[in-house]
Amino acid sequence: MLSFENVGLRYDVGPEVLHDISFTLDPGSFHFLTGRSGAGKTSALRLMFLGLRPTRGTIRLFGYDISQLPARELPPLRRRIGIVFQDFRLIDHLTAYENVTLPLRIAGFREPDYAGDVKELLNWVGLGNRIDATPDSLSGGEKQRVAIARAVVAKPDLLLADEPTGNVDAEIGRRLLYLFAELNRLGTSVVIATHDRSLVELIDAPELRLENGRLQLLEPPSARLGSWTASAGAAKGAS
Amino acid sequence: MWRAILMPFLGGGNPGAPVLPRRGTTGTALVIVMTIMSYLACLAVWAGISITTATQAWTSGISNTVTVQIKPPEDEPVPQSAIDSALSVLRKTPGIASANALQAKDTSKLLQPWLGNLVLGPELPLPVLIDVKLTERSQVDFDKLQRELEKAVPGATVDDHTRWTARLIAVSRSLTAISLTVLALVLTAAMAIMVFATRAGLMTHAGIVEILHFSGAQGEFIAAEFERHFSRLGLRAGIMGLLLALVTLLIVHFMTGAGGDAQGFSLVPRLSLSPVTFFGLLLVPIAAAIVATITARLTVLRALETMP
Repeated sequence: MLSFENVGLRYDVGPEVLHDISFTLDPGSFHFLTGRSGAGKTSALRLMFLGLRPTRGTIRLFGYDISQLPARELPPLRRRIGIVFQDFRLIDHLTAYENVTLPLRIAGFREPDYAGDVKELLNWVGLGNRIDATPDSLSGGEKQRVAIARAVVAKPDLLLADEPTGNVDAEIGRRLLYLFAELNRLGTSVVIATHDRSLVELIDAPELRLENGRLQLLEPPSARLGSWTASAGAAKGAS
Repeated sequence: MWRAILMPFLGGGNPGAPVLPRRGTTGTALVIVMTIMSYLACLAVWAGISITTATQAWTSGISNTVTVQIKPPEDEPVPQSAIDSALSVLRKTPGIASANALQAKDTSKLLQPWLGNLVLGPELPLPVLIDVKLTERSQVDFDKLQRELEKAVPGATVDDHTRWTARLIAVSRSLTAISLTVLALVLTAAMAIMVFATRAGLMTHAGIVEILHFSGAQGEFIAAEFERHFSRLGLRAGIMGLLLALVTLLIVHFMTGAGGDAQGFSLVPRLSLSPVTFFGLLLVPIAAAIVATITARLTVLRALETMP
């Protein structure tokens, strides 16, 4: 699904911010990406969704070495990734419904084919009565849910979320996390970047921990206690 | 490529609501500048077509005629025998359809613009002009004709108008070239402006472009959003430029035509709005829209190449 091999990243001529990152995400896996603020979580996520090119090392995504792919062949790979940005990145003049449908429009679907599913999804995230609202009239939590709905609407193979519960209360945060777990159960690989330990403790999943630009893979709590099996995937705590 | 260019006008392009907001992509200033560019393009098109048409009218009017001039002997009118001799030579020459000597009153009329309504008597010896119509210019050997006329009537000269038409055509070609140069400069300036405007639009909406890009949109999808905006802007500005140009041309038309010479002074033809010119002008808004669309498309695609 996604693998990093000795990946390093530096911005322009600055110091290297990520060093020798190596890991593999299997299909259907669930990982937390943790680390203190400024540890490089967002940079690592950007590398994962092809928002940055590594300075060195190899990234393989869906079986392709991305450094070998021409630019024209990257968009189809990006369409298989759902992204929840920390700052939502909603388009201000579009309604919640239109924002959510964007990945489907990009993929070439016509509205009659997806309108019902999108409304159902918005209902599911608790925004059924806000589909015509524009982002400026939505609360932080509502924007967050629109952003999440947009990320999952095209049923991506890989979902990357950057602090997805940072702007919602604990209850909504739990619901959203369970939404990710449900997607994971349906086969989507999930990586959630967060610094919120309480969130990490909700789901028994392995942890990619970034410290000083280096990545460390921590087994899930259950495995650390001896009961976790890597092939079991994740989201046990959510089910 | 052409499908993508035409899509905005055919109501095609990306389905659904425009991803770029209608407001904020470009300001009123761009519409004004593009309107001015279209206006200048209309004037250049009008000038080019009018000059070419007028020159064709001038040259075709005189291309199949020549004039023979018989100068009078000192203080005497031209004797009729000299006129008859000249006519005889002319009518025997291959390639000449007809030859008719202008009467004294006709010659006086030609001089009226310069001498007024004076009654010219025989005491003022005037040259005799013979209007010669040709069946085919290429059949006539003008050097030989000149020699034969000179032999029959000393002092007779043939004016085949080539000097006049050659100079006229040279001037016309120069003016047409200037019009085309102005048109090319306006086009280049319009494209440069559109490049700046598109880049400004890309910067203003960098966040939206990034979302589309990272959501897997191909460059064409993103470019189509800008094309949708700029094609309409180009068309709108082109139509406004055309309307302004039409108003200007109507004013010029009335100023140069309505108050013209009462005698129909025909050396300089009136510059009018012919159907050909009007058709040429109609192409300007379409061209403005196409230029705006293509420029926006290429600018966006090139900018996207720099994204990861």
